[in-house]
Amino acid sequence: MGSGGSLLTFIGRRLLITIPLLVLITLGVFSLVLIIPGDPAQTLAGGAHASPATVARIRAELHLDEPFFVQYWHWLTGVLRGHLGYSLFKSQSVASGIRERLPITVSIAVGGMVLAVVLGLPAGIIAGLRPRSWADRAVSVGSSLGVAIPDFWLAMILVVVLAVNLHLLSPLGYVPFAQSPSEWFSHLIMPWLALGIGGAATVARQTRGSMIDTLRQDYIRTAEAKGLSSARIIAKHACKNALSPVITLIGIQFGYLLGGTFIIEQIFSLPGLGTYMLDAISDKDLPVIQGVALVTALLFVLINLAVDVIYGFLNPKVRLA
Amino acid sequence: MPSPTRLESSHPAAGPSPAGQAPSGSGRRLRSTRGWLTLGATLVAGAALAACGSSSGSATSTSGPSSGSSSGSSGTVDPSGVLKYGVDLDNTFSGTFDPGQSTNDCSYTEYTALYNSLLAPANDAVLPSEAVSYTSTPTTITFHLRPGATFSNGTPVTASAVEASINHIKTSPFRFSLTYIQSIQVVNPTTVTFTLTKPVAGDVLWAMTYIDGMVMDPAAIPNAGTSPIGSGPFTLSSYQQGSSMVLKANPNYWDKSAYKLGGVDFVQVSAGPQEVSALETGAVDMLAVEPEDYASVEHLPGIGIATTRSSDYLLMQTRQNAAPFNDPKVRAALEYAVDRNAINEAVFSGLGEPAFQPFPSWSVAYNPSVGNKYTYQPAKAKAMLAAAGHPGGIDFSLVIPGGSATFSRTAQILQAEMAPAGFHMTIQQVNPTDLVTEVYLHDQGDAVLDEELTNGPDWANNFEGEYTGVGFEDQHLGTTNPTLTPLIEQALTSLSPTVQGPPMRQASQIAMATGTEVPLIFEPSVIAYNESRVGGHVVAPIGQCRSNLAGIYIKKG
Repeated sequence: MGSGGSLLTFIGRRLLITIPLLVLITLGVFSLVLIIPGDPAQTLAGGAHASPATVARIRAELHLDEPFFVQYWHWLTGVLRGHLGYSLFKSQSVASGIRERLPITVSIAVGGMVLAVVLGLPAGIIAGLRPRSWADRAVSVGSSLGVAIPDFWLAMILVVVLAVNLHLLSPLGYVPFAQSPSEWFSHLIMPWLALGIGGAATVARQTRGSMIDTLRQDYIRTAEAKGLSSARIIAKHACKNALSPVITLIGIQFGYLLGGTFIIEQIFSLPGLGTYMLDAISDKDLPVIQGVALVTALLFVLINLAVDVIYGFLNPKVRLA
Repeated sequence: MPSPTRLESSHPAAGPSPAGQAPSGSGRRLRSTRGWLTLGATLVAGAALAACGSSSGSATSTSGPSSGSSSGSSGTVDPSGVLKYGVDLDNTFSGTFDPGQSTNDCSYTEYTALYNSLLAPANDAVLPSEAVSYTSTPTTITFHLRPGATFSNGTPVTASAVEASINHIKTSPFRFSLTYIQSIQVVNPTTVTFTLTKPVAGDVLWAMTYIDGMVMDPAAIPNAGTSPIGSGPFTLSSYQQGSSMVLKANPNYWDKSAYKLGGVDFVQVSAGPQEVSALETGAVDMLAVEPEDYASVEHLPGIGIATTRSSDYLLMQTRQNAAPFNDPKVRAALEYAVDRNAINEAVFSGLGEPAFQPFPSWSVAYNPSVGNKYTYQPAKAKAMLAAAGHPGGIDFSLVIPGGSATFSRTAQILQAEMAPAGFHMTIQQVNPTDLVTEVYLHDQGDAVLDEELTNGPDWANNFEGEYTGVGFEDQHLGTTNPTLTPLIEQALTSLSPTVQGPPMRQASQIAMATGTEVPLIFEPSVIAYNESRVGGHVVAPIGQCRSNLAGIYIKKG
């Protein structure tokens, strides 16, 4: 069987593993009903003035008075049909709430990731090619700082410098790309920087280490002995092998960035999934909490699947593991 | 037959200079002018009373907005100018434009731009809005509507529309006061009468200033969630959930001269430090400022501040059906164990009013004989505690809603203040939305730090929920008080100061003597605005979320 066939088998195997994982995820997400304190029925019934009869009626309407697995089954069958339920407080279906907000969160996370790769990858390669040079030291110091600085702190500093003092950018809000690409871009620069700089630092450190290890391998020495040019050795042999673990890291990093957007959205008043989720947690809006948690978990699974596939494509040994 | 109560207009443009207007162009000005504001408001209230007269069982006091306010520096009005108003849409707007479906009372900020309520709120009065006057007995209220008023689509506002609106909004479990309305009778196209289930006309009148009393075009009610048709000064242009809401001026509004804005953009600003940077960078023109952020905006160049006194107040409620606060002597000692002045200075930048009793000094319910008797006297509190059988002091837990710097800082100060008096307090934070469940249903904590929101001239309203046995709080905290109940019921029959004042003054004295609650601070309401953009008469909301956009404009150029 050729390598293409192996790759398909590998993808199929990964997909099969994903199914029980998804079932476990849905169970975990739905279990939030049990973990989260408070009583949404009481809140919906009017709070302090609610009569017990009204609370009981609303509890029955929301199926909150049924056994856990019956509630789970109601919810799961709805999810399989694409119905994530209705927000208890937002007069909107959870699916449409997520549909409106997901592009914003993904814009932030993808932009942050692109920035992390664009900054981190070349910096790591340069540092790895010339260990202990001034460039390497600059990258090491810079990446240490980047890793140490919390995203939310950096976000606030960016607001003070770029928005308040220099009046270069707006400190808040979101403009859809379709409405104005330039406004969309200018409103997202700071969130991207806030998320991307930390990510770039991590990518740079991993790339540097990986590059140094790769350049010490026998096949690199063999390539040099064969008289290949440095540029060719680096581009064709060193980078391809050094970047395999970096791709795994980028996948994991993307997950972190997705999580990081939840705080960044709050700071820049961006109406993404993060603000939706935080608001829902504060309101005990269970359908929204479950919906966002499920979608976020699915995104993580898909990202990991994609990383596994890319890794498998780059490194055939992985397919046999 | 009682004669109708004519109401003074709430719109600055429609009447003489508003009470408490600060000198033009000054930014931080209201702390020093508080006395003048009070005097001005009192004079206006007095003048209005004299003009209206009163009749037995039907009259109420009326006055202009008795609030601190600020005039933006002069500038030419830009008739198409759009105000960028920063609000936390995600946390404070229900996501629906139907008042009958609202689950968040702060939606009033946006609703009131789209819908007129029957009456408009002020700190110590109700003002005209869709109704120009009313007559009331304890169990009936008759509203006389503004002749010729129309909805934004040109349909006339009639008594039938009021009936349909109230019947629709009444279906919401959040509109408790509307449950008192037994029936609504359309007398003629501009007159409508409510018959109540019990003598609580004061309660219902105040509710008519709020979401409860908003008038909707009956034909538009089924689609009001997304396509609101009201008779307010603006109409909805677009809305993106959690992000922005764009309103434009209603061309059919009856009082165009009062609203000089071409439109309003409600811009999403999450709570926190970003509020200040949004204002500084011009991303918003105006936003309400939390007390803890006042110091951050106070010295910003080009930023004006308006404050409004409020009867919203922070208080400590105790669990009186269990030890240690089931002993009135212990509760009485607690009144002397808190330094209200220190909390006001540290948490509210001195802008609030220390609450030495449950009613502010400018209200008819304020009892001068109680005055400032309950000052901080830890030695006295300790002695009283010892006399109550606790020479070593007592330990108790205070539940506070988490995520609020105001509550958190207040609790920490209370903890430090009470220790020398022998009250050793631990602080438990709960999610704000769990407060009801945790404190009342699950009996968490011996006391709770909470806030009571303004009810304008309906001074008995909060006490009704806390001490008469009809409310959730008193049933679960054991605070039902048979001595207070008849006084409260007497006051609830009308908004008239002569009806509300005497029983509530007496109630105030009883509440403090028995430690029924520990009032702490009447919270100030603060709004900050960009002086280079916003002109006219800026008024901070009276209490939480009760904004007023009348009288302000965007400057040309």
